[in-house]
Amino acid sequence: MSTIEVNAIDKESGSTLTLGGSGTAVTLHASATSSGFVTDGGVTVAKLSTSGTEANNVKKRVAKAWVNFSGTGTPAIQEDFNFTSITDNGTGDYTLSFTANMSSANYVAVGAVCASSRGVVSITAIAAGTVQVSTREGHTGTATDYGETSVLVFGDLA
Amino acid sequence: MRIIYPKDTGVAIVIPSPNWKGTIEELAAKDVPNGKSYKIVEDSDIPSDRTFRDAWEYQE
Repeated sequence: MSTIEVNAIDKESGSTLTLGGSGTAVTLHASATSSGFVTDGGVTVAKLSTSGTEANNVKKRVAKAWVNFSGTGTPAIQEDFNFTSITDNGTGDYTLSFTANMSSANYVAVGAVCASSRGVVSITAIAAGTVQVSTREGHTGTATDYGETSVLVFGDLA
Repeated sequence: MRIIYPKDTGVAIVIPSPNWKGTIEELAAKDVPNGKSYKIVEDSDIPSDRTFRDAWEYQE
């Protein structure tokens, strides 16, 4: 392998600088520092644009919390992001607590159940630190526990 | 582990996320409503038969 040592590489003409070719992996040395690039695993909410310009504001478009939980047998969170716990309040009645709170209660929360019947999820209470959901059989309105319930939250973090 | 606390009617059961890295006591401090007494119990202390879930009661 040969090494080229230069202080800058720039395009000769046009607006595009292309490194490598088809099938080539272009990498930075593990101990190199970089700016202007996002590396694998380096994407965090803090690094997403907070620009007030709608076209650039990536941060607003990212889900701030999501969860898949089981409400049957022994209720439990199966997978989640940004929740610390689920509180089982009773049949078909659960409170989800955020790890990082939302900035206010004016966010969007939606839910669904995985069921062959007409199960529905309602948001029954919404606050910066928690969101309470109820799961019911849609036809009768009877509170019901389901094996898989999903909740998704969009909005601004505190 | 689970955290249980009384509600106006019945009992609430706090179940930690698998991603929770703190202690169960820290979770209780965060997620149990202020002023509520609570108990920390084993998972096995909570019945898995939820047929009469809304009739469960908190006992001091």
